[in-house]
Amino acid sequence: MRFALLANPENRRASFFAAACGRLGLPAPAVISWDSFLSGGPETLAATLRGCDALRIESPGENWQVERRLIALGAEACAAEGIHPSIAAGEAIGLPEDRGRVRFGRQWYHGWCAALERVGEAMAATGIPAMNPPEAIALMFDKAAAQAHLAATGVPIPRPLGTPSGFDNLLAMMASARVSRLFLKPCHGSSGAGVVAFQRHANDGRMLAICPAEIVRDGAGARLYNSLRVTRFTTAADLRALIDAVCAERAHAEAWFPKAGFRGRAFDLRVVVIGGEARHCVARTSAGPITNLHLGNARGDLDAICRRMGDEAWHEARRVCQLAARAFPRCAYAAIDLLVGTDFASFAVAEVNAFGDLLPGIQSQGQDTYTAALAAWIDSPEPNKPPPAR
Amino acid sequence: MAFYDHLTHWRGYRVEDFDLAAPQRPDADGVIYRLAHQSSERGGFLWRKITWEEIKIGQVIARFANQPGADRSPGLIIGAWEPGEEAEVAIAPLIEHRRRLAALRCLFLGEFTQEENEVSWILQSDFAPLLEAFPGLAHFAVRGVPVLGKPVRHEGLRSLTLQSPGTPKDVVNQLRQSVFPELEELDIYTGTEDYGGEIEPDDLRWLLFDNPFPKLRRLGIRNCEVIDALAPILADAPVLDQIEELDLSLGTLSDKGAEALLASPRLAKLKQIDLHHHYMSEPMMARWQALGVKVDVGDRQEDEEFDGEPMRAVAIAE
Repeated sequence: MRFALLANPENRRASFFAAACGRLGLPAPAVISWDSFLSGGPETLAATLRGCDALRIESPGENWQVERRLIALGAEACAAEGIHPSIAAGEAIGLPEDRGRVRFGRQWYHGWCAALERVGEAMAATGIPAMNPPEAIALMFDKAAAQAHLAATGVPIPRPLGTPSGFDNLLAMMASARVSRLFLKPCHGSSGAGVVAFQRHANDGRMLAICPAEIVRDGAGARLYNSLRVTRFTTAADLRALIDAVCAERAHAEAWFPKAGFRGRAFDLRVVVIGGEARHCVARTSAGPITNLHLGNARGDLDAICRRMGDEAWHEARRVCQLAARAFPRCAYAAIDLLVGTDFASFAVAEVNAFGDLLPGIQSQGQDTYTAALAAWIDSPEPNKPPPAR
Repeated sequence: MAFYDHLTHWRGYRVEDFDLAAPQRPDADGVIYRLAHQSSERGGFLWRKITWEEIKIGQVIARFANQPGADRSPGLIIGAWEPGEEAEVAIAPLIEHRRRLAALRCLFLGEFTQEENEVSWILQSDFAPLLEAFPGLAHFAVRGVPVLGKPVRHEGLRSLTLQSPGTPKDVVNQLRQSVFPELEELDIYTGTEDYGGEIEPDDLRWLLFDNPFPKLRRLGIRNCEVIDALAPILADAPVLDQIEELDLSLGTLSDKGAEALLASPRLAKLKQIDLHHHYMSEPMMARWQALGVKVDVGDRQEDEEFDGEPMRAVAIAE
């Protein structure tokens, strides 16, 4: 069995998958780069797929050339939508990198959907399945739609408030929903970029936004940059600039589900569900509301947390993750961000990540995430329809 | 650092969350319960209904008080109440149900974690009426900037803890005029002026020199921004001859304050000294460890510079 891999070949994700193939005695995957696929069109991919049995779609991230191709690809749809900032395709393709800057997120998403659609066309033309199909990935990359989908499937989620158009609209939403603490998340972002923990004191109106970002002001106005440093914003001017910038690219607001604390830090769980079963798990602990590990946060002692939860709650946690993954039934794997309530017994799914299985060093039954997903796929009787959760 | 963990044990009891869907018996052996409001923000708790139902802290307290066995419950932890509301929303129903809750010996008011509210955003209310309504209380703790509207007389109170990012002057003044003949443990988080802390070293002289609480055996002046300035006063204070435990943790103690303290012959007679979260040098830490007393000098902080000035922060601030 040979796999095709659509990825940024220089990225460690590509090496991890190649290593997993090697570990299972499979031939090296036929790699096609996002860059060449996006410049070449569906036929480029179809040609590669013809020699293979299945496709793994990897993240297009961490590559500026690919990113601006996707922004260019989304130009028409974004302009037609007419709500979010857009840039013409010709201009996008030559856009110089401005590292970390929050911009054109919505247009990028339109381009990403178009690219995934082309992947789907190549799959249809060749009859080759993907471990995770493009439609499911597209849905996961729209946080508002994905959360609505989860709720409709009966998965517990933090209370959704809507997609605010900006700062004033967000305040109005909070007033009408009577919510004073919330998370605002870019619908199409990842890795905690642009995620804002926002609170407004219901009594005296004080406001505080906590976000891994930096506001840069010059004659042209305020620009927002993602940052590895989590900053507390409190002035009206900063709050407006921050929240307007995040909302401009479409953002999902949800009530702040209070997370459990353990050993002096808050935490949540990243759980990779493979073949319907909750497998790899990492506790992400943080001295602040945002738990993403690259923001100076630390992996927590999962065994100790499990003991604190007790068997019954731990079983329920796994069940909720499996339920969330089952909302994407054709996906061989999915990475769930599970919030644990302060009682260690109630749960909410914050997100289902398409590419959240990059957890180096984490093993389940002696396998890393890439190997486990691949092995489960090979063993599955109907590989393009993973079995339901046990 | 901040408050991230809910208490799992307090005053010798195991703490459990009171479950409105399946209420436990309030008089279960060795257990006390944490009561908290339920709101849309905590909606995941009620997801099966997806109604984001709100249940106010007052209703939760009433529900608890009306459970069979509530009159034998030895303690309560009041956790999160409605954001933006003052502690009065919990104090009033507690007082209303005081007969049903007459067995309470331990009461914690406002055990919010950082995930539930910024500690500086917790709105406290005057806790004097609460102490007066519960003469059987032995242990009382408050989290958030405390409010004390008048001096209190309480014949049974053995421990009082004020966990605050900043304690106002008038609270200390009311305590000065209060009468707690049985008080054994006093913990005041004096905090920082950024969050309402107004305590200057001289404001605590009465506590250190006048023997206001004859049974005091533990004194905590914690989360204190002026600890270096307080240290020389404390070093000469008779209170050190009276107590067994001194807790100056979570503050900004540096070599300057430590030098003054170590010059005092009184310290070596203490049983336990907690200094964790401090700005002392390693040689100074070694001097503490050589004192022959159980001393915690953990969680050493590094000075941060801002405009050439060292910046030191207390642990519980934002």
